[in-house]
Amino acid sequence: MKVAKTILLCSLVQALYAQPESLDSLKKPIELSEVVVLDQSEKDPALDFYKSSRQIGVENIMTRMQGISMIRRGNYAPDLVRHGMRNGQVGITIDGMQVFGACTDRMDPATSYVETNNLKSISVSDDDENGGCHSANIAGGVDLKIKEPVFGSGFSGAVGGGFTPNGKGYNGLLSTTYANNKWAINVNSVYRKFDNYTDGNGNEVLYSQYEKINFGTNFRYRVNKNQIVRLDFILDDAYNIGYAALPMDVAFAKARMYGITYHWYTKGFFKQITAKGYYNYIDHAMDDSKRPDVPIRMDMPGQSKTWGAFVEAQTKSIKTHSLYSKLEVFSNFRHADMTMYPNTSSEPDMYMLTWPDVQKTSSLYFIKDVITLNAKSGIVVSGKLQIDYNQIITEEGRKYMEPMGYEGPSTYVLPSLDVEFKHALNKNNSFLIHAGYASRGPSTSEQYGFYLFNAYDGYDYIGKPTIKAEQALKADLSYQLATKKWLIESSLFGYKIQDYILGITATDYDGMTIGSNGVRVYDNVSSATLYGAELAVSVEIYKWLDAMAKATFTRGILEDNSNLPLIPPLNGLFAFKANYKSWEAMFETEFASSQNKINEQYGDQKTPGYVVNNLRAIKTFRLKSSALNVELGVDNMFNIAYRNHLDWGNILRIGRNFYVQVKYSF
Amino acid sequence: MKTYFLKSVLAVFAITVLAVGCKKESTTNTPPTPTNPYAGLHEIAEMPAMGAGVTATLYMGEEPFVGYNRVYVVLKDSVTGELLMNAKITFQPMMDMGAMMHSAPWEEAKWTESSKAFLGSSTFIMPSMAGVWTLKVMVQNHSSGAQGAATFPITVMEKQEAMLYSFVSATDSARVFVALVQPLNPTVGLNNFELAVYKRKTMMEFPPMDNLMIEIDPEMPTMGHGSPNNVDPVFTEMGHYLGKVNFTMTGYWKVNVMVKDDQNAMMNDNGYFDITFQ
Repeated sequence: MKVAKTILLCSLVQALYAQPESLDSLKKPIELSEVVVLDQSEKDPALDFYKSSRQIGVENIMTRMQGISMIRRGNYAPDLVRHGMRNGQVGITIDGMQVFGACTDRMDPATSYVETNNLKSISVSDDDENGGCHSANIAGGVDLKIKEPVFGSGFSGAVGGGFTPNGKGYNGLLSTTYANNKWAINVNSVYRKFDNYTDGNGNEVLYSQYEKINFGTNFRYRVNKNQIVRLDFILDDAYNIGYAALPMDVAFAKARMYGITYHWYTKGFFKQITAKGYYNYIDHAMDDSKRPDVPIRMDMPGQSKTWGAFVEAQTKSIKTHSLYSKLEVFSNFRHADMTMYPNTSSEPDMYMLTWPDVQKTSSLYFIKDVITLNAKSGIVVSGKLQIDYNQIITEEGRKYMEPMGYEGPSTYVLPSLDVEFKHALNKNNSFLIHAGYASRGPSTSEQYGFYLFNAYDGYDYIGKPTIKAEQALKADLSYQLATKKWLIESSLFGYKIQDYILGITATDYDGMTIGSNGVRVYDNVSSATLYGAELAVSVEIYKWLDAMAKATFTRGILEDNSNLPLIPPLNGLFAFKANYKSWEAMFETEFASSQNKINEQYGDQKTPGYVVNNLRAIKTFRLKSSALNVELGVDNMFNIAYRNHLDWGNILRIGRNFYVQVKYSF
Repeated sequence: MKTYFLKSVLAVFAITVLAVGCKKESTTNTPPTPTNPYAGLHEIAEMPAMGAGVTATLYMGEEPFVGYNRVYVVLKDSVTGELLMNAKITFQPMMDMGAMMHSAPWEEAKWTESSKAFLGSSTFIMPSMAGVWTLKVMVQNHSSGAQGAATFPITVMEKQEAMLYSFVSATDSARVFVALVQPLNPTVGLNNFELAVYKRKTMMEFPPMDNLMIEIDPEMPTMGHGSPNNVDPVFTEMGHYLGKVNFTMTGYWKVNVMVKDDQNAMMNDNGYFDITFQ
């Protein structure tokens, strides 16, 4: 279940950025998944070190989580990778809601439509609190939990702003909460603007700008002692986003998310029942109007609408069992098109659908039983059955895919099963063995994508309407040592994916995009294998000084022993965090090895390793019932010119980057 | 009191959220279905077919053009006005250029119930500018046994995108005409692609050419790409060849046509049709 991540003591991130109290609690081996807590105690800004000190994107936090890497196509909206797997293989939900981006080129993963300011926590795989069913995905999943105002907390809030000279980045944030014992409301907003940044060689990186505004509000009402209703709304509008590694930018990316949740807390058989309904709409416009030289002007707008509802229930402990189950239905509609404007006005525009009005309707049932064997051992068994029903719902859309083999709706029956055994050898040592089977249906692009240009390998990609589901066997073994001062976790993980979905070159097809290398059609290849290891260590050196280190190694190969593309190199970080009175300081070293296990046919290039150092200090001035936080820091302090293997297009990351951030909390 | 408050809060919340997020969509009305079976056709004229005891009304699929024209003939009894369905109808297209005259390929018109008319074709091979086109409709009235004819003057225009091209065969130096029969209304995706091929035997005889080998290759010249999954036209009957062309997007397409004889010897490899649609 908690794929590979299980005994995670706290991740570094957690140890460093979350409150000290949680560090202790996490050392108990019962807390098995990695959770980054973002919204703890707004009253005490010193405690939410990372989040409060800087308005950075969600991705900057996730990338510090164990096993997580990011594919970067620009300086915005990176695409999550876990253990070398991505889109479809990793589930991403926002507070349990399914959110599907509206960009055919994955320039807007769901994570790009929320800000840390909207969130309470980020968890990898499922955590016991929420249940959820990400463990049934091939490579687990990430849930970003929306903030919820706490009853009885009165009036509180925070206002802040920051500036970074490299890229002339500004940000501002506002968050207010009012809560009595009956109802609670939170309103939060973030604005961020960033110009082109300068890399470690002193060169301006063109098309690395962006601007965004995010607004979120949550309302909770205590219907009675045991029932709470909650309403959530998130608006996220980004404009003028450059994608340095792509031939096109984004004029706007807009999301509207709505959720209504009802909680029952009971004393009977069920401990808690939650029902939720949600809807989200995403409108995305890709264009090349800012690019001076293009063979042909084009724009590629896309829309995605998703509604869904689920009911989840957690039972009390019944003898040695504790059951969780979830029933969910959701439906996603996606449309994307492309218009090309010939350079001579006498010729008409060219228009095509690139996601030809695709509807995916899914229903799933997930059940998990946590069984306590004895004081030292336990077993968790879980299973999921998901049925996907995919089709093209317009006559126009069908015309595009019929020549590619579309014959009508397709149904995917997707079972998953997981078994996990954990055992404490003694007070300090424990281990966990996990094995599972998971399957996943194709993504919209893999099944119905129509000439989607992939800038990484330079091919246009076409979906295969009759493509088969991927099936994976997965296993991992984790070992944990936890003492008062030390927390060490190591794990090995492996995946064997059958019917692995990959683009296969269609030599008789012409590339549509001018300058493309040709066409690849998604298809199932017999198998792919991924395996790797993770290590995380944290230690309390002194009361005032913590240190941590973490590293992940991943290897991916296809059946013919060629390398899987876009596999992250060995990477990780070291960090020291000091806390002294009202001062805090952190020194962080990010590193990645070179990646020479590459697949050039799929666009990989050899990438050198790097070491980048960051330093930050924060001073809290305590006032009567409020606090002022001032932070100064520098990322990439030695101005290293570097890029990660997963950064597309040889685009270097930002060079030396000072910043100042001020926040006033009341 | 409490519920009133809750409702108010919910309402305010809902309004705020909806106001920010709503998007209107418009609906389109479907046009009423026509009742006149000839409503979609282009009427040329009505005139008596002298001797056959009928009045012939001549329609074309659209305004006559250089290329394969669908020709509809509606016959009515001159006396009773009743629709005549049992007749043999042949054509004689004629171009009078003053100094010379020539005909054009044509196909006998057969009764088609769906059109409520006799449907045949005439493939005009040049526009009216060079001379005067007429189409002689010859009627053999099977119900009365009478025969007659009517000659209609036709104004043939050249379409912006040619629907016909000709070449001199590399194998036997004959003049060959290739006309595009389908698609009439091209769309994205697979379209029927039908050609009619005729040979100029004499100035008056244009017999259909059967059993040729035809290959097509669509391309988008602006973008420099083609499309996959096309089906080369194969011989059906009377000089017609039916295949499929796949247009992967709207815009300007050029469908290249290669014609070989039944021995697979190249007759012509540089013909094409421009097809533009939105």
